[in-house]
Amino acid sequence: MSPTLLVMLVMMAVPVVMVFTYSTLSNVIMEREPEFVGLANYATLLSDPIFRKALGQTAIFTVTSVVFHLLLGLAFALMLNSTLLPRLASSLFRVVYILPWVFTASIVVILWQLMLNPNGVINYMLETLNLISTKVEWFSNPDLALGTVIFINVWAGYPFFMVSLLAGLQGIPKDLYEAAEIDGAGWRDRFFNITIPQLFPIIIAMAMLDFIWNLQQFPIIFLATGGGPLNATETIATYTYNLAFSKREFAMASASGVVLFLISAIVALFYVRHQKARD
Amino acid sequence: MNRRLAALVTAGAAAALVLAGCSSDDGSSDDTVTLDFSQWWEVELSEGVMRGLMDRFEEEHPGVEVNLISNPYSATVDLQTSAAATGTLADIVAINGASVYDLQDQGAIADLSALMDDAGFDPAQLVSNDQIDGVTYMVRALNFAYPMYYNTDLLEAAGVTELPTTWEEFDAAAAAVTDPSSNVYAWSLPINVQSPAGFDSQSWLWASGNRMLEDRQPNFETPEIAEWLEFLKAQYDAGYVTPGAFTQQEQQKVEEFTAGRNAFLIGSLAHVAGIREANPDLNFSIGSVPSVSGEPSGIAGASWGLGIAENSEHKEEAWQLIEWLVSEDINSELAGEATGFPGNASSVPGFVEGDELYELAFEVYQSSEFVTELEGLPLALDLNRNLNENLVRLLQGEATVPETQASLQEYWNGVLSGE
Repeated sequence: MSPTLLVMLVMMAVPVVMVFTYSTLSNVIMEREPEFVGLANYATLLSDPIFRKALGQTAIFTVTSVVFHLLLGLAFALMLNSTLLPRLASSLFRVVYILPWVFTASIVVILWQLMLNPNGVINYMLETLNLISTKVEWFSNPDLALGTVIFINVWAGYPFFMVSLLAGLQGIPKDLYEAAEIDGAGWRDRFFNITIPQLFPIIIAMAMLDFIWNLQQFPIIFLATGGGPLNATETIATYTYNLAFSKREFAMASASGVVLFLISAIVALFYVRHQKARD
Repeated sequence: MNRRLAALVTAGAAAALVLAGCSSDDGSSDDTVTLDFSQWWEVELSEGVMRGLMDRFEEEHPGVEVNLISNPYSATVDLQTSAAATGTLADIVAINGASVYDLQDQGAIADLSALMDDAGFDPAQLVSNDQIDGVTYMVRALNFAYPMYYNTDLLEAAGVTELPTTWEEFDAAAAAVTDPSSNVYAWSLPINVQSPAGFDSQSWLWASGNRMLEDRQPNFETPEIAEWLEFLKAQYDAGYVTPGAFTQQEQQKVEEFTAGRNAFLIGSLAHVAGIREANPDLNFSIGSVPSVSGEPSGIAGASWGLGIAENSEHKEEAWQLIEWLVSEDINSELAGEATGFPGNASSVPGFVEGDELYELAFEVYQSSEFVTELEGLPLALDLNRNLNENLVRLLQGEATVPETQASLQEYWNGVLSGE
């Protein structure tokens, strides 16, 4: 057996197989002799309205995050790549724009909790500008909580797209733009017919990776709202955590984890196929 | 051949890694016993206090060393849950009433009654000896009382000359001090679901002599519970509670009081030093949480307890450390450092004498019943979370008081009926 296979077996295959096995047993870990229950845990899971709500919110959280990561990342990358920007300013903005990515999730959440606190600076600014008359409860209002958490996640994650797309932009041959300019192409034509097609393979790869990461996002959501209020920010990750560490239903938590694993695996499969096709 | 050799070395390294992860022994070849002690105490005490105590224990007990595994409270609880499941719990574990039942249910913590007998320890030395089915699994090293803090400057400015003792008086005082245009609210009610740790809602019920349980079974459908829920709802609807209650956390609540934006705070005595340090100009006092009748009868309490892992190979030495920590002098010292009340009945915390606030708090503690209603219950954390979820639904207007009572009764019944 090759060393790579052995390490993969110990570090990946064994835990995955264990979680699959746990998901087919009665309350494993808490029961000394758990029984085989087949797919009963999955049936219970799918009949739980909170799980179904978490599933929908995970999709909203993930897709919105990926789209805004891409849009913001692309916008900032284009700006940093622009020849209109002086070199010193470009270097300074690079540092500023990448800062959110440098902070750990806990720092990101504390930072935004301070700013979005009902008595925080954001509400103060909005009140001063007469945009709001009462204090907005960004995290505690069930109608706003998911949007707030998505906003924080977008802020924390766009630099990854920005850095990768900036590298891609710098790799596009200049003569393509020069030839297009001679042919009379405007900035819009150059953007849609040169920049986007040239960046497309990177965008697809990044979007798929980002999709998988956001699908599993836990610390930002948990630290900000814990899935509440009234399950307004519950995603599969927080739902699974609560099953295991609050309700101590480890078999159900395993089943929930397997669902997340399967969704991630499908996207990962597309990612691998895409990478192979590129090669 | 080289490939095979490389594979063999890699396999050996991987196996060693796995085995090293499973071992709790330090692998030393001499007779020294190393005790792993998993706790959150070192994080919460001043720097060096916990290690200093362990160094003194090691000096007094040659041949025993203590390896502190320190993490914040919630991380400690999560780690213990995982470790209990895999049989890798540290020799000594700091636990509390919220986790003791589940750990004993998993068979992860040892019978301390037997260890006490073997060591000739008299449990009468302890303030309380909590048992599950007649067996002690946790020794309380410290108790923490949760009185009410009063910002006397805010109350004076609002014309409130006497501290409220009844809910009615509190309601009037809350109306007087609340001024949203200045960001001043009467109090904070953190009912988040990620770390439902405080007693901000329950204290009002307990102070009035009422309880959520009867004979360890839920008893929510009573007029007293309805009155309590209506009081909380009225406070929230009137706007006396700091906005953001549904996701506010314990520390944020303390910050609101420390910054002079809350007139009242229900919190552990451990906050006194932090508030004084962060805002030396703040004038505040301590008293009982107001009750329905004005006669306080219960004060919320939490504990720092100690247990021994069932899988420990050094139970005898582990018990020596617990016995040492709850001995009269050491326990007084620990209580002083943590601003808690000692688990040893003979210990007196040094901080009480000479400080008016602590003396007041000690009076409140002594004149009230120490209520730890959720301690020792199965899934205590989950029950607390469910309480908060139901309170959010009530305050949000998505459930009436009777619906909240019925919902709590049903969920808690499902958890506790199997006991």
